[in-house]
Amino acid sequence: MSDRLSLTFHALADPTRRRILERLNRGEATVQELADPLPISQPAVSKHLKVLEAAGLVERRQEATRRWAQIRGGPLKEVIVWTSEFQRLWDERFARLDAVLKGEQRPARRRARAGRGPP
Amino acid sequence: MAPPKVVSASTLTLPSDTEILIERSFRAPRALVWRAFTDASLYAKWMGPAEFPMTRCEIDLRPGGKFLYQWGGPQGHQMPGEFVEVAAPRRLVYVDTGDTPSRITITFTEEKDGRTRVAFHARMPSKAARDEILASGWTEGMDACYVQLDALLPSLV
Repeated sequence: MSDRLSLTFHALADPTRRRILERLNRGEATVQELADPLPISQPAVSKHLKVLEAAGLVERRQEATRRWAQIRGGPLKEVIVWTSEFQRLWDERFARLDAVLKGEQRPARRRARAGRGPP
Repeated sequence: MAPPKVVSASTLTLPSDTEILIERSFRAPRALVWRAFTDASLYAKWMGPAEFPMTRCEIDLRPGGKFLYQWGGPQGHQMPGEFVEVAAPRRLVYVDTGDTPSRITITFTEEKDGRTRVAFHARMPSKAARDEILASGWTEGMDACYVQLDALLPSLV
């Protein structure tokens, strides 16, 4: 796994950072705006933003006295590609499980109609 | 058997550096879903690659009880482990003692309309181990190919 991907996983591993990203996904925001709905201070939000910035998940720009943060999608796409094969593996298993569950329920219904309980 | 059409109905999240969580809802009562995860004859039907079915499925379902899954012949891929908690039909905890040790917690929750939600949670001892498991999506297909190759080679000699 590439170091870049490790950085992304690390950045995404924290629930506060994921909440920050969810907020940024709705549009650019200042540190103040990001801190408002969170139970943490502005300096704490700034620290989280630094981690997200290092992973390339967030880009920041200065506008007069305000500093804006915006989300960058590239690293997220890498994570999605990396995890999608694992998810596909399980989706295939689960699709087979669907078939097993369906098959198991058919005889049970027949038995019920015939007035007999399950064995 | 043709592989069933796969619709991505699961959600995958990475709660931390050492965890993987997959959730999926099934159109079946909880008792039956529990059986599909714990009854060897049912489990063998859906676990593992479709083109390479399980050849050995032993389940001693009790805390401390062992399980062993195998694909292919005696040299095939094995997955050994031990059950930690067996709380039918709600919660199943086991440790996978194979190549990449992990602790798996499966939670079965009843939903509306007789559906059952399954939360499959894996915890690994390190981030490296977690990444290795994630990479299994890429490697499992390869394993199956290698095992098939193993089976084929003697006939070619």
